[in-house]
Amino acid sequence: MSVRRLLRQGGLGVLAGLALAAALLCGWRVQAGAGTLGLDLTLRSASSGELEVLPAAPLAHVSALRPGGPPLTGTMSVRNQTGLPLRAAFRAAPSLHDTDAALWLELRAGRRVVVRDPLSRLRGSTGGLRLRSGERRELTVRAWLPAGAASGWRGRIVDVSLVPEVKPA
Amino acid sequence: MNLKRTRKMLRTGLALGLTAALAGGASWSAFSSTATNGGNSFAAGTVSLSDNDAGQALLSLSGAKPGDSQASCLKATYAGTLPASVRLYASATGGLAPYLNLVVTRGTDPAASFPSCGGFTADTTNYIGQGAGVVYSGTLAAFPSSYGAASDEPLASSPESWTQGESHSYRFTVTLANNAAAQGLTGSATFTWEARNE
Repeated sequence: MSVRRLLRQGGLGVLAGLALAAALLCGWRVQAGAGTLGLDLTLRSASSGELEVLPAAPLAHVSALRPGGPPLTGTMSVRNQTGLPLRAAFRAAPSLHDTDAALWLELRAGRRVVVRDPLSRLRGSTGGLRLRSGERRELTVRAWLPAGAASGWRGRIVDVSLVPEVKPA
Repeated sequence: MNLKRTRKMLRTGLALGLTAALAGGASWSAFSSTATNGGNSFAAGTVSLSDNDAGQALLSLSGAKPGDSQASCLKATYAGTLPASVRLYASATGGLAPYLNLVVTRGTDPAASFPSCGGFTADTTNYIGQGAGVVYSGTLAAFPSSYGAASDEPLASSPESWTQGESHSYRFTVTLANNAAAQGLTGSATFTWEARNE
């Protein structure tokens, strides 16, 4: 085999390698996704000495809450275990404050709305529920992202604890 | 011949260079994409213990005579995020404390309503050999007066770590001793449950 022939074959090999490399590099690119991650939300209740709140386990959980989507709903029961009538309010304690503007919460006792506000307004206790000594009430909790919700919810994982705060009624 | 060989080598080198440039460029494109991780948060845990007395006294004896007794119950709830041990101690004042016999029993009360013991059920464990659930039996004067003097609930030899949402009810039974020296004396006490994460 002559040197010239070897060089010609080498040149063809280089060209073939070039073509193969280009094909592989272009073909193996991962296409960008078009979707967005939702909000991973867990609602929890917390008992205090004065107010027994059940269940102790998480009230509700959703793994992909999105603006305009169906709300996350849970129920909890609260009971005044003191010897006095109490006014019970609730404060939201999120594990992350990114969703404060976007996420809305509602607490409802029967038909009565106890509180309905974005998370940012629930850092201090709001609303109020009067409970006689030993009285138990069922509360419905709803959480949702309104359509067109502000940013800060995409891909977030947030635990929101509803912390009771009481004072004598 | 030398010129031809030189051209061939140049072509080969050019092809190799192009391949390297393309591969390098593609690799650069692949490795130069970015990913962000936002929303990192940092928060310290909490130790939080509260009870259901709403500021009311647990026990009250007035004009008592020997053998008079009162029982009341209190429920303590732990809401902290960190596990904690709990100790119970009291600050007692007045001359009557040595003549007040106190029995503290730990248990549960699913329908607690301070200071009623209507739904109280004592723990089944005989912690100190004084009966089911009893964690203290003695005079009020001898009750541990500080965190250091008290032991972890319910028993020093088998301390329990309280976790979030855990609650225990305590029944306090106080009885005036049959001792003439107690006549006319008074006393008061403040009971404290202290949780510490250690």
